[in-house]
Amino acid sequence: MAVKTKTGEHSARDVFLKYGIYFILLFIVIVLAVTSPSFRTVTNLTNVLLQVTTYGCLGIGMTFVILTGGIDVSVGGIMVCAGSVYVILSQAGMAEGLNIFMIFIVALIFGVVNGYAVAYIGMPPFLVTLATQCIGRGMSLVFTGGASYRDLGATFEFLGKTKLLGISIQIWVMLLLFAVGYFLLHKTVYGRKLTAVGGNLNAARVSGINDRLITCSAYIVMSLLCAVAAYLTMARLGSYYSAMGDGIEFMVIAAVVIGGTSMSGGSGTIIGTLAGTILIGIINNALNLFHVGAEWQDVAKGAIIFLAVLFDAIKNKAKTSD
Amino acid sequence: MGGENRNVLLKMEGIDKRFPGVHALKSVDFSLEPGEVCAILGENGAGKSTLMNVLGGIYSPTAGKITIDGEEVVFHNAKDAEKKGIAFIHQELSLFPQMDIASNIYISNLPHSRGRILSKKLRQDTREILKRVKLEHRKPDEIVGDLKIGEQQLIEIGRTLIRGIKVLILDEPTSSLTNAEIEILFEIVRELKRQGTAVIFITHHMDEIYEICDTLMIMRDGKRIMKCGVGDISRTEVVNQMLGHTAEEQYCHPERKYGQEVLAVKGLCRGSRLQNIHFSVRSGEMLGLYGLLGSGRTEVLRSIFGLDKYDSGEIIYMGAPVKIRKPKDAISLKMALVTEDRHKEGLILEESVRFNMTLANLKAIARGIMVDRQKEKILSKSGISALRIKTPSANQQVKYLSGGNQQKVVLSKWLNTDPRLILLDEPTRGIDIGAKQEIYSIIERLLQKGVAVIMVSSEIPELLGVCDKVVVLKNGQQVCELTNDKDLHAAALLEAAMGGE
Repeated sequence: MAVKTKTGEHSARDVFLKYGIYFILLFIVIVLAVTSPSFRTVTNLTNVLLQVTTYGCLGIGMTFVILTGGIDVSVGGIMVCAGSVYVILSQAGMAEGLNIFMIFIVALIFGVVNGYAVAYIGMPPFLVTLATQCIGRGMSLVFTGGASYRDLGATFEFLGKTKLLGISIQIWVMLLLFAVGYFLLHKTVYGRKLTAVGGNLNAARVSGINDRLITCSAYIVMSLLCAVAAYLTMARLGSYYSAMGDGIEFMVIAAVVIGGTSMSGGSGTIIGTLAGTILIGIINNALNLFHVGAEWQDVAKGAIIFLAVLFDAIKNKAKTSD
Repeated sequence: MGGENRNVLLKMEGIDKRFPGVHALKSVDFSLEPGEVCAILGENGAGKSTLMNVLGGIYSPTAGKITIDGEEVVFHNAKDAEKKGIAFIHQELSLFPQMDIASNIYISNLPHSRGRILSKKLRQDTREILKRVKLEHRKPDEIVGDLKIGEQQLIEIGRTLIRGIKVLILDEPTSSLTNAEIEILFEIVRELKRQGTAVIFITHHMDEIYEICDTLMIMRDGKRIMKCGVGDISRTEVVNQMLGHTAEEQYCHPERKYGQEVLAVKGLCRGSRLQNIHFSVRSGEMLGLYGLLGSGRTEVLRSIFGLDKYDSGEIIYMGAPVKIRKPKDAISLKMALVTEDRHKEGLILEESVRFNMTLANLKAIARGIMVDRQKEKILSKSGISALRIKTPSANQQVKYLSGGNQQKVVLSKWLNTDPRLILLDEPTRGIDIGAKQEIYSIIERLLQKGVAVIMVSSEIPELLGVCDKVVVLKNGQQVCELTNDKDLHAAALLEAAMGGE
């Protein structure tokens, strides 16, 4: 039947476009394992994961946002703003529970503003979140006067130093969040609606899905994950600094796109984002192991993002030519 | 007519055009004299647009020859045709709304010296053009997007005047114009005519044809049926020629039993798009909505379903007035809408058959917050077999399905919501005859079960074959409501929509 031959013809290319990231990841891991003895140590590998916990957490939310056809570049701003509120309260001797609660409240406000502006007012997501990023970063300086803070307290160290089965609790948190993200996106009715809105907004609306609410919710999920990311980052470093999360949005977006989520919305997976995140971590790690200078690391990161977007463009072209 | 070619401006001979699976033009001959204003008439799919696209250089013909002023020409693209003096004004305007009038008119031919635009000359030339299209009151530096839609159309015509044009093609030019603007358009056409330019009108409006055209050509099924002077043929005869034998071949539907009234629309108005629409439909009854492009037929369905807002009017559903603000409200009242464009509003092409099939009734496959894959599987399997959808599996992406099967997926999506009223917008457009028949029988089954159906269609045989009554719309107004009995003929329907006697 015509239907079958059509899918058959494209299968080899489709498989590469769909699973190419995993081949590349595997290839790089093998090359590094052979060439670099320090790469294959357990400590180094857990370190790779530890380095990407922030990217990972944010990547989950970013997958949701990009699935709806949007983008969120405010993540760094939300992180630093929520973090600054935390340290101010914590320095003033407030209870830890309240401080953590406030991190989430601050982030939530940003998420609601982003989501409402994009979904209900119809403002372009890139510009909305660019503006809120700027506001977030500015507010953090207002709160802290640009100061850095160390010794954030004993309870705080729990998420920084504790290990479970020899692996940092941070990694466990990240993996748990990936599991929740996977469940939400691929197993629930909510995930269905999100995919439908991103795949074809008009068809979703005609089918009775509240497309605005769904779009808005993606930005809110994103912002709550920013709160988690801010807390984990501060716990890992044991400090707050005003440049926290600076430029992080690009690496997160790169990880999501490398993981196969399409910038035009509608298709993407949480597993892909996990793979993309690990790939970025491994590339960073390799650059360090081979003592590549910081300036060249920036060039390399830029090149990675470029390649990821190029890959996405090729994939879209292949799709439309079907 | 064809014998002496002294006075022939354009000649198209034996034009044939095949698309994969469709023979769109069958050896069509067409010729124009200088200053001739000719209307091309035909039903949807008769081949009017294809012929004009061949003349405009957009399609290259499979066979045939085009001669302009005695010289044979071959067009590879629209630019080639433009160079030979063919100007094609499409229904969708191709202006730059953010730019000013002068730049729009001269965009491909800006007067310049060493790269610098000569703005004084540009403004002067533009004023000349504006005078010719009767827009003297507009200034060259006004922004095109701020003009009225009719004026924009005149700018579009003005744009073609800067180069010598021999043939001007106007595709349904008056559908968005006010009466005053139509007068101006006709004035311009008459002036072009005096200068020896030939004008081709694609239109459905009889009054306009008899007012402005010298000749008319009727097409049907990709063939030229006839060409003659407008004075030589009556309006009724035009309609009969357009329909040909297709009017006789009718589908038959079994006896239907009508129940209580399901939906009544009273005095529905929406700006100038819809004015005072009123009809009702009973359970087990099928109502057709007929009208030409832009008549407001789709808008009626969208307003009922909560996709568009309406200004005034009342919608009575199951005996009680209802307020439907969004599709979700309509769905919870057990209404369904099969949209006109499957790809744009019906399906999520990248997703699977089962994903699409269950989208309008996610509650049915939910267990708590989760999607119950088992329920989904059962539901989609039964949908596939009930409507006999040809697909390798429920996991197949719908983009790989044929048009007819895609449409069945859309129908199945709505049947899963167990509707009492189904709104169908061109449900059989672009699908083959076999699938069409299957879709009719699916709808018939629903009618027999007591569902009420409203169908928008531009195919007259379809409306006559399956509807119990037909409401005809023209320019957003309800022309009449015709009961589909032995006395309703295709000609009556078409005449009502086109504005016959």
